[in-house]
Formats: sequence, structure tokens, C-alpha cells
Amino acid sequence: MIVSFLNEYGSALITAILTHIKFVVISVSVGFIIAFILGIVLSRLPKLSSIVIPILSVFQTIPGLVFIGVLFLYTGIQDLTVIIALSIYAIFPILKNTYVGLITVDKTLIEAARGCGMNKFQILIRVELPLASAAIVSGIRMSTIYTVSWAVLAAMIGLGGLGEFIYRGIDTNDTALIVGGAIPAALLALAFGFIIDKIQDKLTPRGLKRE
Amino acid sequence: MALQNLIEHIQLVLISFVFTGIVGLILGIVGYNFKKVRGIILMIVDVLQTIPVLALLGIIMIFFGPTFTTVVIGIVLYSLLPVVRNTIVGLEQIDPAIIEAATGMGMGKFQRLVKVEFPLAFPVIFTGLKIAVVTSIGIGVFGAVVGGGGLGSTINTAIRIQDGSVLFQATLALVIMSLVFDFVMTLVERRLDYNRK
Amino acid sequence: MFKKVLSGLLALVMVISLSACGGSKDSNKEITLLKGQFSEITIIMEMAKIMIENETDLTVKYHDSMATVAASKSLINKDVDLYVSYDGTYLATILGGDPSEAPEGESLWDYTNKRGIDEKGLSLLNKFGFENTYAIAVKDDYAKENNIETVSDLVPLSKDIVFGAEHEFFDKDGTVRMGPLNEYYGFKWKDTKSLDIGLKYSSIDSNNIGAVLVYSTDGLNKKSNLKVLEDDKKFFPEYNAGFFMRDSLFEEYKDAAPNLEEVLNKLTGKIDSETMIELNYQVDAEKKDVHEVALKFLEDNGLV
Repeated sequence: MIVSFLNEYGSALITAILTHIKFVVISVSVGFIIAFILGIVLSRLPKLSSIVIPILSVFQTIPGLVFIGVLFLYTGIQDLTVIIALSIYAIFPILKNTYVGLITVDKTLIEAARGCGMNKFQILIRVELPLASAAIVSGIRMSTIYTVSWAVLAAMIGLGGLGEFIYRGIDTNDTALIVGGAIPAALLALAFGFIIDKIQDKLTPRGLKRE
Repeated sequence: MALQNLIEHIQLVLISFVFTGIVGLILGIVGYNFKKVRGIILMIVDVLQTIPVLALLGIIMIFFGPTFTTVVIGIVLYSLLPVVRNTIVGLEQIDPAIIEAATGMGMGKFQRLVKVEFPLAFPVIFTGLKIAVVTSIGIGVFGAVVGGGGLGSTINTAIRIQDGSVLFQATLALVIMSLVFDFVMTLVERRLDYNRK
Repeated sequence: MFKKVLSGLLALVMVISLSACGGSKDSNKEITLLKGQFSEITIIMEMAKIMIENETDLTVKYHDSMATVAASKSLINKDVDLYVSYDGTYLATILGGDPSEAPEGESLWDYTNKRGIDEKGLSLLNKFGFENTYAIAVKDDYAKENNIETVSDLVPLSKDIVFGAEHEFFDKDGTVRMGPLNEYYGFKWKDTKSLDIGLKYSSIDSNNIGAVLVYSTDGLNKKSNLKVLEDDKKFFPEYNAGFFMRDSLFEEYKDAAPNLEEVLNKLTGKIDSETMIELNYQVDAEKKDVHEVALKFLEDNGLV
């Protein structure tokens, strides 16, 4: 059954997987840049962040269906529409983890760094960010896995990806198509998670590793 | 906007919440007590989250048909992760001295779990439940595709006939619902944290 | 505090499980109608509701809408009792057959019903009189500018047009599909888009696509100022609408509502395509209440 499925859909499946990866990588990258900068800024302004973070979290609850369904009226049927929507969804977990990671850095360490004569920028780069890196990377991991799932929505406006298999399968009552789209999506999410775990392992300062 | 769909959506979220809680707690407690299966349990709930919601619902539909049940099962499977993980974490971080004291007082394993460990871990578990509920509100929107009703129906129709005002109302209802659940549960969370300290 | 939260949760469980059990139905006093994903079905269901409530002792309940295949499964396992479907849809989407299979001399309707009763125990009651077939539509002013009346007129222009249709239409199986359509008429589109069915009209309104696959009776065709092109070479099969139900439905209700068949048959042959388009338009575009529209139609035709 698997062989005949791959015979019929093999090349379409590969195209879909590549499209899917493209959407995920670009959107998470864009989301990361925005979230990272915003996270640093907000961690310096705790008062403002108590307003901004809840507002951003509201965006999370707007269904992707509504988001893309309305957005494409202005931006058209093109990759940009999907990337905008997915990037916005990708921001929040990274932002939240960056923010929390930074504000929970032990204050005595910051004092110590200041005592060593570091300025604010140096403290951020050399002390705070390395210490918060585990939290930040786990935010990226979360965002990436969610984005793999959300990227299914690209198919809503005919832009391909694994969603094309899933939507078509549901609309035509074709289980093979649903599963044929779902399994690669799940594997993709796991693969991304695995790669990010490896990167995190490399990034963790030796002194902070458990073993 | 149809009020009935709103009520359905709330029902969907609440019923799923109950089952997520029960299943998540059981899996968490099993994972905590039996270190060998912990890895497997965590891996399964982790993998479940990587399956796109729509596909997950489509697959469950094969077995349970286009029903409310299908959507509830989908939501439960999808929101187990935070509950299971927080249950294990919450139970793990209890001071071993307290557990020893309880054993010293002659408590059995079960008694200790119910009277000592579980209450101590509850604040962390509750945070997991909160995350699960807020997630489930969003997942419920996909329910309309497999006949589960809820605000997803309202939204699908509004998008089709391009009724901006209904679309806005339905989306707003979802957002408010998330905020209310989040707000109320955060209040409880703070109380629990306070009591613990 | 811990106990309070726990007891609160327990109370919640009990309330919910009670309310969930409250739904069990007295199957012979109650009939469950399935709302449509589109206004057309919802309107006819509302007509059925009004007539059944008027002329039988049954109480009528609605089940929320679901996709076609899902609907057929719900009919089979008796979660719902009555729906509306089309011969072409029943055959292609539910039975997995193809309109080209119908033997010479036997109508699509009869062939589908025979096969459907055999395989699923579901039948279409009688034709309402309207046909809701697939059609290709372009914007009205575009049609006027380029003098397009029929699908054939569109063929030479297709190299500059992006065509959009729902996912199902791009499936590899079946004859009423993108590939066979292109081959049959000789279309060479600039591009094709497999869209969510709910986004087709906003896609053409916002000029993201230039031609779209529509249902011929959809009220939104008029709302979006679309010209529905004549299928001059007869590519699309007819899709006749009728009540969709378990073949044994009247048997099941013979005690509670012996006249059910008679009541439902009042709509047989009463709704032509023009009428259906108009009713759909009133609901989808003029946003009139479904109940009002259904009741008015029944009154105007002396059916209540």
C-alpha cells in the first residue's frame, strides 16, 4: 500500500515536503528575529511588557483560518501571505521565552559582571544572553514544531505544502491522502526538534551542562 | 452570530478539559512512578503534537465518525502534553525529605500520593491544565470540518459569504473566551502558589 | 484551597456528564435534520422542519453541519435522519463511483439510487426539480468585455487566466476533475489554484483568480457579479437535488408519523433552478433569515 502510494504521489510528496520546509524555515527565521529583538527590548522595560505580552498573546488565539482568509485579500495568493501569517504565530513562544529567560537571570551574576567593569551591552551579550540561551532555544523549538503544523494552512490558498494532501484527503474521503500528508508532517516536526536539540547542546556553556 | 455555536464551543472546551485532566493525570502519575515508561509516555504525547490538527481529526474520524466525540478526542490528544509533563515535573520536584517523612509516618504509596505528593504538585499541574485549556479553544475551531460544530461553523460560513461583521464577532468571541479562561485560571494559579508558600 | 479546586472540578465533571447524557433521544418521537454547509441545504431543511412540525407529531431537532461524506456516515449510524444531497455527489463523493458509469438508458439518478441503497442503505427521495451542477464562472464585466457566453468562448483566453477551484476538484481520481476538464475543452491555464472552498468567492472578488469553479445555484454568483458560463459541450454531469435519507426511514417512523413520506414529497418538483438561486441569494447576499425565506416560499406555494 505504501509502495503504490509513493508510486502515485512520490514526486508530488517531495515537492510538498520541500515547500513545507521552505515555509517553516523562512517563517520561523523571521519570527525569531522579531521576537529576539522585541524580547530583549521588553526585558529592559518590565512595565511595558506587562501590557505588550498579553496583547501579543491574543494574536495566538485568532484562528489561522481567519488570519489567512482575511490577509490574502490584501496581500494576494502568494508565498508572502503565508509567511506573514506563520511568522506572526511563530513570534510568541520565542518572545515569551526570551523575555522570561532574560529576566530570570540571577541578579548577583549581573552585579558581578558589572563589578568586572562590563557595560550594559557587554553584560547582555556576554552574561545574560548566554544564560538565557537554553530558554530561547526551547522557545524556537516550540515555535518550529507549531509552525510545521500551521503551515498546513498554506494549502487553503493553493500554495501547496503537505496541507494539500490533508485537505484533499478530507474533502474526498481518502484516508491514504490524509495519512500521507500527516506522517511526513510529523516526521518533519520531529526532525526539526532533533536538530534544534543538537544545536542547543552545542550552545549550552560547559559549566551549565548537567553532566 | 449564532449563540448556539458559542455554547457548543464552550461545551467542547469544558468536556475536553475534563478528559484531558483525567487522562493527563493518570499518564503523568504512571510516568512519575515507573521511570521505564516515562520516556515512552512523554515521547508519545510529544509526537501527537507534531501531527497537524486537521490531519489528526481526519484520522480519528475514520474510527469515530463525524461526531462531537471525534473532536473531543482530537482536542484531548492534542493538549495532553502540558498536563502530562507538568504532572511529572510537579511530582518530581517535591522535596525528598517530605516524602520520607510521610513514609516514616506509616503512609502507604497510594496514601502518600493522594495526601502528600499530589497536593504539593498541584500548582504545577494546574499550570499545565491552563495551557491545555487555552490551546483547546483554538483547536476547537477545526472541529467544524468533521461535524463537531462550535464557532468553527460560524467562521467557515462567514468566510464563505464574506460577512465581515460575523467573522469579527466570532473571532472576538474566541479571543475573549481565551482571555477569560486564562484570567480565571491565572487567579486560581496565584492563589495556589500563595497557599503553597 | 486544593480541596476547593478539586471539588469544583468534580462538580464540573458531573454537570457536564449529566448534560451530555441528556441528549439521548426518544428515537420515534423525534427526527434529526442535518444543517447544510451551504445555505441551499439549510433552507430546504428549514422547509422540511416547518412542514414536519405542522403536519406530524414529531419534534424536530437540528444537528450541526458537516462535510458530505461525514453526513452520509451520520445518516447510516442514525445520528441524523434527513439531509439533502445530489445524485452526482452521492455517486462520486460517497459511493466513490463516477457519473460515466451509469449504463446507457438509465438515468444518473436511478443508477445512483440503486447502487446507493445496495451499498449504504441510503436513498434520494425524489427530485426537487432544480439542478445544482458545477459550472465555470468569470466576472460579469470581463465576460462582457470579451464577449464570453459559453465555456468554449473562454478556452482561447485561458492562457492569461488563473483558475481556482476547491481541493476536491484537483483529485486524481474521477472524471469530473481538473485534468479531464482541461483535456475535454482544451484549456491551457496560466495557472491553477487549489483553494479552500470557503475562499473561492473572495479570491475572485479580489482578482487573485480570473475564473472559478462554482455551483450553478449558488446565491453568491449573483452577489459577486459573476457570469456563469454555459457548459456548451456538456462536460459537467447533472446534479439533481433531493432529500437524502436511510432507505428505511419511513418504515422507522411508520407509527409516529405515518404521513412523513407524503409530507416530504410535497416539495417534489416544486423548486426549479431559478427559484433556488433566488432563495440562496436572499440568504447569502441579502442576509435574510433562513426561517423567513423558507416559510415565505412554502406560503407562496400553498404548502403550509
